[in-house]
Parts: sequence; structure tokens; C-alpha cells
Amino acid sequence: MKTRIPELRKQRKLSQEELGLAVGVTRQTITSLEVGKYTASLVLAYKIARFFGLTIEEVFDFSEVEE
Amino acid sequence: MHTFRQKVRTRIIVLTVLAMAVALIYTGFMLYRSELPILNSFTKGFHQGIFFGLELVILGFLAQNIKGSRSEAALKKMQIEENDERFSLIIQKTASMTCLVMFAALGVATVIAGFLNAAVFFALLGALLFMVILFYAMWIYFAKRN
Repeated sequence: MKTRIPELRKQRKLSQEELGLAVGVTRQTITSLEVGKYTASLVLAYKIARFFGLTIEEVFDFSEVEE
Repeated sequence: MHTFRQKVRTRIIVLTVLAMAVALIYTGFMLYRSELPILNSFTKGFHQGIFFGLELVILGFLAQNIKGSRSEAALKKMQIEENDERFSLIIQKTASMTCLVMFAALGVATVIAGFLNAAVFFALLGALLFMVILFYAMWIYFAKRN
């Protein structure tokens, strides 16, 4: 799944470690989310979106998710 | 965070007791060695390895928890590492795949042992049955919980 996390993180000059600490996951999880290897749970997606002050759809791209 | 701190404190106590218990049991075995059945060197070495390995694992976990409980930042890091959802998923997938492979390997080994040795066959069959029962018991438990 594609995400806007790298872009949003760079805008706010945050490291992966800092974002991870803010939403309660490790740096490795943020890396996996950014490269699209891992799909976040609903709770994590909500936490990340809320951290950036956006909605889940604005951070995560669901267009490629299979029905 | 307060709950996690309590959890770490309890863990430190339990691990300390466990480390001491394992050391005491091993010392007990060493003291009463003459009263135990005579074992070959390989079995003796295996038993020693199990005890030392277990002691090392317990001490490792103990050190990790003591280190984590020293500062607020270390505790937070430890909490994140333990509750990370990707890590949990990796553990779940690893465990389920390992379980599947173990079932298959144990099944094949039981069939082969049936042609070679009755004692090994029944030991493996017992292990296989135990795993099947445990698997379904866990299945029912988690199905009811979730």
C-alpha cells in the first residue's frame, strides 16, 4: 500500500524514529510502511493520520487494495 | 506507562526467582549426583547444556528488563518494542509456519520410526498427539476470546 508518510515526515522534519516514538511503533515498522511492505492496522493508520492532522484516506492510498 | 512499569517490576521478580530456582535445582543435581542413575557423557552434557542455556536465557531477559526499568526513555523504548504490531505479526506468522512444518516433520518421522523402532514410534506418536490436542485446545481458546 502506498502512503504519504515519507512526504509528510519530511515536511515536518521528523525522523522515522521520532514518528515511531510518537505513534508507538518501532523505526523498522515506519520503514516497512514507507516502502509499502507492511500494511498498517486500523488503529496504527488512525494514530498516524491523527498525528499529521489528516484523515486516514489522506495518508494512505487504498486505490491498489484488492477487493 | 504505569501499568507497563508494574509489569516490568513483576517480571524482574519472577525472573530472579526463576534464575535462582534453576541454579538451585542444578546444584542439587550436582550434590546428589551419586544417587542418580549413571548416564553416558552425551546425555550428561545435554542436561548441563539445557540448564546452562535456560539460566543464560533467564539472565538475559532479566538484564534486558533491569536495563529497561532504569529510565523513563528506556522503559518507553522497551514498551514500543514489545507492543510493536509488525513485530507481533512476524512472531505470529513465524509461530504458525513453524507449527505447520513441525506437524509435517513429526508425521513423517512417526511413519518412518514405525518401520524401525517401536519405542521411538510410540514416543513420536505421543508427541504428535499431544501437539494435535494442544493445537485444537488453543484454537478453541482463541476462537472464544476473539
